[in-house]
Amino acid sequence: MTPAFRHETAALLRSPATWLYWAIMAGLLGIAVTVGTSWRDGLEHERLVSRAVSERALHDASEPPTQPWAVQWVSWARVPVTADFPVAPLAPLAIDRIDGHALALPLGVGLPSASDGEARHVSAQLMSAGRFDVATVLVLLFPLGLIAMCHDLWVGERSRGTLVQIIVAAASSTRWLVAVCAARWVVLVGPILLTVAGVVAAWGGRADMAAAAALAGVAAYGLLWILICASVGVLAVSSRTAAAAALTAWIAIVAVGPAAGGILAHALLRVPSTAQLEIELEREGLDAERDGQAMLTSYLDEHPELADELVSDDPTAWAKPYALMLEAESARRSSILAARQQRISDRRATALRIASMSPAVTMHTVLVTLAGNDDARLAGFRAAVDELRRERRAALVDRVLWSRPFDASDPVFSASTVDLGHASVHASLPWLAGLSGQCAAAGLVLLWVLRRSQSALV
Amino acid sequence: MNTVMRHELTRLYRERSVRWVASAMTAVVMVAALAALVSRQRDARARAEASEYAQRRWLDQGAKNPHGAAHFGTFVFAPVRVLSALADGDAGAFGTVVRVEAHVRTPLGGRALTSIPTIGRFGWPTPVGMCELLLPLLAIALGHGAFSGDAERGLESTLRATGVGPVRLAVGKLLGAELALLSSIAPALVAVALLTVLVEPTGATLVGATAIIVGIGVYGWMWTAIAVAISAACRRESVSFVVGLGLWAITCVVLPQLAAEHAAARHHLRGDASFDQDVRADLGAGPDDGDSADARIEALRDAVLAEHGVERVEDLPLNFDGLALQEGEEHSAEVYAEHFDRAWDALLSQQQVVDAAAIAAPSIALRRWSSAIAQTDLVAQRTVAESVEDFRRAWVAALNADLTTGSRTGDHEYRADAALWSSVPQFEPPPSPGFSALARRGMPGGVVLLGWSLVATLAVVGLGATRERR
Repeated sequence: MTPAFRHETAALLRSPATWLYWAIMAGLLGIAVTVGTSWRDGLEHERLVSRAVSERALHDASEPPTQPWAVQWVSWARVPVTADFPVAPLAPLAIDRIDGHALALPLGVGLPSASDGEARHVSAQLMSAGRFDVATVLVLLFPLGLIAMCHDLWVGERSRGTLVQIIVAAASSTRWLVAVCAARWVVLVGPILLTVAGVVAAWGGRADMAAAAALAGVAAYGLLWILICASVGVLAVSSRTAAAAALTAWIAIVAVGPAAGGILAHALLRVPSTAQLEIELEREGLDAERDGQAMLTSYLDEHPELADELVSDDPTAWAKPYALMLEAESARRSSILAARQQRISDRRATALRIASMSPAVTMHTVLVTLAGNDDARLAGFRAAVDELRRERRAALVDRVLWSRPFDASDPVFSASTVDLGHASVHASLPWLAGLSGQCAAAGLVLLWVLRRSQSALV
Repeated sequence: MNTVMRHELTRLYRERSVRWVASAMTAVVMVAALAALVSRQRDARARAEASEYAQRRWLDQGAKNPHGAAHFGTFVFAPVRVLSALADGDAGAFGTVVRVEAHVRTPLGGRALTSIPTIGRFGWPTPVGMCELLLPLLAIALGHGAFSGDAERGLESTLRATGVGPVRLAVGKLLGAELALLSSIAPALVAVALLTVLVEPTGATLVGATAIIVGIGVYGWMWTAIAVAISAACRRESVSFVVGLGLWAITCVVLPQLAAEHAAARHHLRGDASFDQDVRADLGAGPDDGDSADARIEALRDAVLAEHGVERVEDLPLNFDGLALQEGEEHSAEVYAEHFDRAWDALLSQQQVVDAAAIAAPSIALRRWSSAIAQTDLVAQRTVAESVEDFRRAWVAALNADLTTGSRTGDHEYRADAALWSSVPQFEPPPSPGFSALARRGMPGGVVLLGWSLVATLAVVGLGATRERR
């Protein structure tokens, strides 16, 4: 521990500004934790409601059928059974706009539609402003705090006239600056790390790799902003210019970066709008009628013994060809929706890749991924539910065609869960590596501007 | 006063950092406007094509039972407003298309905000969104040194020695900074307005775009006045700069998000599961296809039989199933209306809480004003959603009326054809309210902006005039 480090740490600890910074950050994190906890409680409440509704509907549908099985099929199609998105323990860390997605997807045999993946009732204010979650505090506000506390690194000493003394007294100006940056990191980022560790432990229940990765991300991101402030401070002619430049960097990284990513991705990758999608789905529905007829013919070829029943005029027999058509249309719709969803995911991924030049986007992606609210996990959930629905539909069609009654005890119709495992630390590793790279680049830039500045001094 | 203003203006124009910030802001606002206009044009084209297809599909559906056609359904697309390219307001949180059919009311789907990556509220940019964030920074860069900078450079006493009164000095400095700001952003804003008018060359677009730009101008004036007032209150330039930035961080970054969280916590909006459960409970036995032994249907049957003086529905000169379907439709529509109204009321209450926060965070006020003018605010979304529901009710009623009068009870072979499909109502987007109605809607935001501007201007005069004494 160098004297410069000790001196800087002591000075920071004595400064009222440091205490104010800690208090503000603690307050902001406290609000974000409250928001996260209440979001999780709200989600749990919705799930309890949803489960109660499903169980009652399943119970009602399992009453001994008093109606022909074809009508029973219709009532089964309406049973509101849903599969819940498995919320990861750290989910409240980065809620992001996950509320806009449907976190409980219907497992009924109804036709998949364009808006299946969307939540229908969301707060416009929260959707427009974004959630005040821990990720928002860490990605947007934490750097502002660091800029306020570190923008006068180097330039502050220069304006006070103490820089030359320091350079003369220290073994080297680089070592002095490294010691000062390290001291600021320890005093300004350290408590944030401890707070986040506490939050993660409270939500996650135990320290695991996800928690460690989140802390590594926060540590790197904090260091990166201190390095940016130091570089700006070395280049700037006054504290005011340094603050303005650091703030410009904040704007570029936080506001312009994501916007540029979004605009470029929209220009590069076209995705059919919801209006176009609805029409495409309808066109496919008409084609599906032909598929249904083809399936019926093929089914009759395989099971000639059913011919009389399938072509019967008995009104209760309508469910059989209808079930086949439904099967065909559902398959077609599912494939279109999956293709479109893939296209949206590709565009979002492209936007993220472009925008990840901005460390804020990288950091945000790290946190969202560790929280398990990322695009890949949502896509995995949708695909798993799609598969479950396909299995249920196939089983239901099979029972309809063979005129077999069914009830809730049938394993195919029991409440299903989707297991996606916990949020993958592996998925966050490339982003974490990217953040480390950006941090290293910021360090190299600092060394370069420092060398230039020393030449100027000489 | 003119000399002071000219001196201030020249000083600011000479500052390289100011020129940089102004150029960067012009570029960002222009790129945001171009991207939003292109995206909006693409959307409008897609919706027009889809709407045309939906109408063709409806007309070409072939002969079928009118109730079958009500389940075949049709599509309704929300209108695209050209000014949404300038101010997207709450539009991204709502959908753009809905399948309309019997028995069920669903909100519009296809929300834009879930398809773009965002950090907090930073994602897809619009000119107003960018100005909300960047204009205060330009204003702070221009205004923070107006008094404190002169004091540090030793120019304050020289200026006073010229005999300029303190009030004139304050007003001159304020006007100089304001002119510098407005002349920096005016080219970009005028270009954005012209582009918007080129896309939809109507008087309403011109008036709306001008009103939004005037709102941005007032916001810029307000922030410049705040920056100059802070400068007049501080002795050191760096202190006025830090105070200005702190105020910006709190009012433009932190408070809008906190206000939204507070509003959502205070006025709870039911989630989908709770909403569906409540609707289902109120609907009773569920959507009624006319074969239910529901008491309402029994009562209707008795009344209709008594009215026509017959004992069996088969003897009626009409199809009772059509009447029963319509009765069920009206019942379910009322249940849905009650629950959707509750949801909209919760959303509007949330907006009121956020509006109240605009007193502390004027960026919210700019958003409120601009989204009302651009018809991307909550009221506009509700108007569209309710006009879709009005259409759905009229459309289903027309189909049920045809079933009732065109066939007899038990006639399952009845088929309607294209003549009916072309005679049922078509969706007409709600007409755009006049500018005065939109301005009244955005008035809470406008009043807050004007109030802040006035207070900040008076603060400049007050603090500037008393600076010497302090």
